[in-house]
Amino acid sequence: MSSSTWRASASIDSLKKYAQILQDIRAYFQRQDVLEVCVPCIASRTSPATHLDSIKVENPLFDHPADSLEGGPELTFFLQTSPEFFMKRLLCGGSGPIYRMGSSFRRGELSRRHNPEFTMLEWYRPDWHYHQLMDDVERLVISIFGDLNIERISYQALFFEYTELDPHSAKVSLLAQFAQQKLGYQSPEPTGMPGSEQAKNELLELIFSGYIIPKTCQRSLFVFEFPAGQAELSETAVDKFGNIVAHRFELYLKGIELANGYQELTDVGELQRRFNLWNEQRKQLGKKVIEPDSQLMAAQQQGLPSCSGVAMGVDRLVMCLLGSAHISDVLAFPIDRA
Amino acid sequence: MANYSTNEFKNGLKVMLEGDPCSIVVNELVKPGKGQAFNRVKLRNLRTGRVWERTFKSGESIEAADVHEQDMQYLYTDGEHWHFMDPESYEQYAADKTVVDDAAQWLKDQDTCVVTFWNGAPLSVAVANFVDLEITQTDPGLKGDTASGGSKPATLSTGAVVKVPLFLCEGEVIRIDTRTGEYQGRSKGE
Repeated sequence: MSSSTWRASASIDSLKKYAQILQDIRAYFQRQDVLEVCVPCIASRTSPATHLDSIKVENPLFDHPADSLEGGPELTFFLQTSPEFFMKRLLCGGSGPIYRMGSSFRRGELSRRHNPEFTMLEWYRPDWHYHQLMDDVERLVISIFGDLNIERISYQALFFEYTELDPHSAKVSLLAQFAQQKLGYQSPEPTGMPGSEQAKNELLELIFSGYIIPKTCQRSLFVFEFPAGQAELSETAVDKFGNIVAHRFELYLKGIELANGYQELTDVGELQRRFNLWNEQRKQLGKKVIEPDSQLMAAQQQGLPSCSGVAMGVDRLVMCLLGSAHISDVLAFPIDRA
Repeated sequence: MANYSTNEFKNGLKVMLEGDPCSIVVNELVKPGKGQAFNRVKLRNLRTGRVWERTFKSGESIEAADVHEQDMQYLYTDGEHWHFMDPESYEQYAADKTVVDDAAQWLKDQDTCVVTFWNGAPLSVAVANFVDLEITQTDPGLKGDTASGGSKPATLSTGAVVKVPLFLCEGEVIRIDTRTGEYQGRSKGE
């Protein structure tokens, strides 16, 4: 094994198909008049998202008189978990529709569908509703896969189809019981306690990702209207049944999570509240608090245009197209060879 | 004992679950893009052999199991216990039927087998995949009949009963696949 690890993990044939997909993506956005932008991989700020962990790096200015930089030479830098905040600063500055394709980094994420460094495609459409963005994602995917019929189903409807539970109204104890029976999961916290919103979200996420999605491997799905607790940075609204839902969608092909999109949150006060909430959750999980990105806050103070944005895993897109079981089948050098 | 965090999970790791020592056989990370990560794990209960499916929140810890495997020499059985010896230290260990289980029918004096210990006591015994054993009782052989494909029962020196071809006689040493209990051929006699 060790003697041949200098070689690429993916076959040359897979690398050629990968290259073709990169070309198809760029051709699509060129036709659509969406501007390609480059943004930093290394930055002094990072996302406080509850369940994302950034990889820390040395201060790149270490040997320089760094008084221009707040925090001095001891300042920590981070490999970016996504280009989102830079792209939003560009949108606030009037960039119009933009896309970025390049590496993103997430610490601790390693599985047959995860590598700590991966290629992410992220794009934003000013003035578009997130259902229009789903149309856009569908057009892009079809330009690569050929004909493909993608169902659209609400989170609530999909959840009920496989569990007969309503994700919005189901009690934590009922979800915990389901997770225990179907997945052998013992909730670490006592359930049913006041303030168990986070416990409920974790159970929903576990049942959704661990139980429901693996059963959808014959389907192509847009799932939309997520529970409000999983809004992340999307707008929330009241659905026709009176539930507060997030205007967020995800794309699943063959049971693989491929893309995650939002009707982007524009209200700065609400943005600050979300960041505070994430940091509260980080504290509970024993993680470090990450101060909200002051540059992003300043930009959004100026005004993020009403827009929708989506991030797509390019390695996984290639996996879907080639029918690969492992991400190392499409990466030249996954982390164990890097 | 120490604890293992989910990020240390890997195949073969020995952990305690519901009071029993288990070995991890499958460990898969489930990590939604924005959500909490979980580990979906299959574990073999080393006491019962049953496979359990469990899910842990990533970052959780579970207790390590004090389990190790060791090559041991099988000595003899007194009917109630099977006795093994560590060939290095000459220390002897006795194991009862629940520990030796199906391996009992393939254990021949002096043979080396792998004994799994839990908290210093034998937990299970694994014999080699192939063992050579003498036929102690079988119906008389049909000389020259190597082609008819029929079979007959034969009792081996350990007491095991296996199906063998008609031409074999008492006193012959044959090779058995202990995983299936099937006759493999005459012993090559190393």
